[in-house]
Amino acid sequence: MEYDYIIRNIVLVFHYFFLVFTVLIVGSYVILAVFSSRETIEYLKKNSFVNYKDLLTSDVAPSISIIAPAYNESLNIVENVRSLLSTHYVNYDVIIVNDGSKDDSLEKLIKAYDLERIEYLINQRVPTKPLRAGVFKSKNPAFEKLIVVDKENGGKADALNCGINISESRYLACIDVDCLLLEDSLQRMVKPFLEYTDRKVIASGGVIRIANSCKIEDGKLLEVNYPDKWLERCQILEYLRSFLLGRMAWARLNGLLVISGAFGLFDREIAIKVGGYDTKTVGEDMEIIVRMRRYMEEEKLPYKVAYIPDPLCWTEAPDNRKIFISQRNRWTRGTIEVLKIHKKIRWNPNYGVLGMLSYPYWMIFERYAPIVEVLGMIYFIFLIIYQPLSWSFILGLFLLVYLFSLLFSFVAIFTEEFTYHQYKRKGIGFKLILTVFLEPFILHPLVLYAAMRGNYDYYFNKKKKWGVMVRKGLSKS
Amino acid sequence: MQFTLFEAVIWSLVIVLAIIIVILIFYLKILRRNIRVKEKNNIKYREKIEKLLIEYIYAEEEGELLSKKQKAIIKQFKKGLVSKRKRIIITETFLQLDQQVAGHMIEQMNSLYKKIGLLNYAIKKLRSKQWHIVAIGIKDLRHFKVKRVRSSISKLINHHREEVRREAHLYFIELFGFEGLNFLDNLKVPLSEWDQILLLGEVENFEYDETLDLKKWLESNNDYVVLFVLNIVKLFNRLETKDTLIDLLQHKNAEIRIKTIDIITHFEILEAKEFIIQRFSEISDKEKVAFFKYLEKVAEIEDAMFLIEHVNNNNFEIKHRALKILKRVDVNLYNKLEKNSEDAEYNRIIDYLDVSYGV
Repeated sequence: MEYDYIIRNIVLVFHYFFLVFTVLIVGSYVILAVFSSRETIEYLKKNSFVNYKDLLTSDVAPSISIIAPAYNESLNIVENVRSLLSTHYVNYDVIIVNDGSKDDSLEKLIKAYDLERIEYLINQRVPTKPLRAGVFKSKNPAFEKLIVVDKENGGKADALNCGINISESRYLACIDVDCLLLEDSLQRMVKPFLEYTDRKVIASGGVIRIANSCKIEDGKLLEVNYPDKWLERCQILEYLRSFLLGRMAWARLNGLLVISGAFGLFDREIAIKVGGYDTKTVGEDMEIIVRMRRYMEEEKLPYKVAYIPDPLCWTEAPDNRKIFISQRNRWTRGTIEVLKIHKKIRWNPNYGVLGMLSYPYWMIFERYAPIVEVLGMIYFIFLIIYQPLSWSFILGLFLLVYLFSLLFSFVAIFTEEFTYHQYKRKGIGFKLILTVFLEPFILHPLVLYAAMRGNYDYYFNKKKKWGVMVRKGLSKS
Repeated sequence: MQFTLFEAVIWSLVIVLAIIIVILIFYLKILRRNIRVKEKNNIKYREKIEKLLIEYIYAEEEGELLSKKQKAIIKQFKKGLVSKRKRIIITETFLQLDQQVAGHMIEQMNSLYKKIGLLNYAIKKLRSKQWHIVAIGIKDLRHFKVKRVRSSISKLINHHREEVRREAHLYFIELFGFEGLNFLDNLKVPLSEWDQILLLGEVENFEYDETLDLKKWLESNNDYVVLFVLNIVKLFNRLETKDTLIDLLQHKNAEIRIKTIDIITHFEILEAKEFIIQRFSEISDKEKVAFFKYLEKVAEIEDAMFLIEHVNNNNFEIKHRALKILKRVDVNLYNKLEKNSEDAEYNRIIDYLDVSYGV
């Protein structure tokens, strides 16, 4: 009798725990959707009559360095660099950091861009691995904006730090070398830095779009297509949800904790003051933002992390399960590491929104959500076995969760349709709807599995680092 | 455990959500079709408007104020203005074409803009409660060079929304040239860097007005006005402001002091050198770096001792520039410097300069 009473109470505790968690997560999604729609409307209003042409010829336009680390990118490096060099901006340079590649990336660059080794005095403000072949510039004036640095392998963060040391610009655009930037992306990304007078913009992030199946020629996006593979389709939907709803809302709250490593613009002075990228974590893109924000909070300086919803950066998403899981596994480990490094912020009112909202949200709904979900499943199975559950209840609950997830995806799709309407072709609408219905069965289980593997690897497989991301190259799409 | 109440709630929610989703599916289908149709129609209507505008411009008959063809075109435009969508397209097409034509044609387009009533719509926008409509209204009036709304727009130069006041500032400069800069006298709000870039872009299009008194703005209480006018000083090489520039080296705002050093460097004003050297220990690192950039241009052999004092500075950039300038102004003294120090940075700079790069 007593045993039964204890079990019943334990079940009740779990019961309310999952109920509260579900209400909180659903509530947070609804609130984020509201904030994101407000921010999107405001952004569109603000930018509906902006003319960027003056920035293209201005003598006072701030300098920007595009820093792109490359590791064994021989397949597409020449085309990718050409794409970066065709950016429309008046005052910029492109720093390619060849991070100890074992392939012939450097030789290809030397040949394609007529490079020669130069003496370059580097101000080693952030420690990095030493140079290998040195610093190269082109003999051809057409490529005067290009700087290639060849260094010993130290990982992405180390390569970015090397680029930071080389750069003399006011802002740093840190990107993945295989990303395709739209021609006006720097103009749009730099605007928030120049607009605010009451606070310092320390970083701005852009939307990352998936370029799989898109038509690309000479580093230019010609046609946006919807891929055939379900994994790619589901990721498109997931990115729409994440970038158009989640991050937009956090930008409104000035609570953004992450700017995608694929494309972000940073204030160089602050990036150097905080010591550049952390080479010890696999979540370096999130870590630098948290550290920069933390620095500004501790110095009591007003600041903002801005966000641009325009589709400016297009990248290749994993097209097979193995690579996808490896990528998400790394993202999970990165999140855990960053939250652990900056645990001082957690529930700390001295850090304002960062400490009381962003960090706790990330911890509860990003870090712990997969674990709670798995626990919830186990609990549900337990209930099915040990409690006289009604099958109508199980079905109803399942449908409720499923339909809510569909609703949130629809909100993301409508946001996309009302704003950028990138998937214009007839027939894609039906495919998008189909993806909304199938994504919870195709992508979500993989995301959950990868997150759990990430947790396991973080605690029991410390040696695991980046994993391999095999790319086909956008020009081949 | 009883789930009956939960069950009822859950199934009610399921039904509500299912209905919403079914509606959303149909709505998405209709929305996508409407967007496609609207885009097609807009392209078609834009082409029609472009054609009509060109016809209007070339349909002028000698001796007549308006030809029959032109009157018919005006009628068609007026008909289109009733629809908000068409009105936006007409305005956009006007603006687009306005930038492609020149001389008499611009005048004709501006007069057509007034005749068909678009001007009234633009003026009406100034009274809107929505800030972005006001901003668009000013933009339209600016593009069509409508000077008679000057007093209405002057009330907006300190508007609480930066987008509105930015358009108002651009209106004054684009329509009244340097005279339009007088709005700076009454400016109480900041001018962001973005604002300054846009304003300078407009200012550049004018011949400098020699009667302009930049000094009063360089002494403005609004620091943003000072920063903006410093850019004008540099852009138009206004060396007559030299004395005021030297005064600005003591300004309370560090950003202004740094910008001033940059302009003094641009003009290579020698009088500033001693002045800064005397208060060198009090200035910030950023000012020091800016000053060493200035010295790169103006330093002479007499400055060697000052440079020697800074070859071991903790700031890499100052150290580098000090050594680099020293090598240029007094190579003998530079050669006497210790080539191997405990400071690795110093050694790297020396190595770099000794392979004769950097001079």
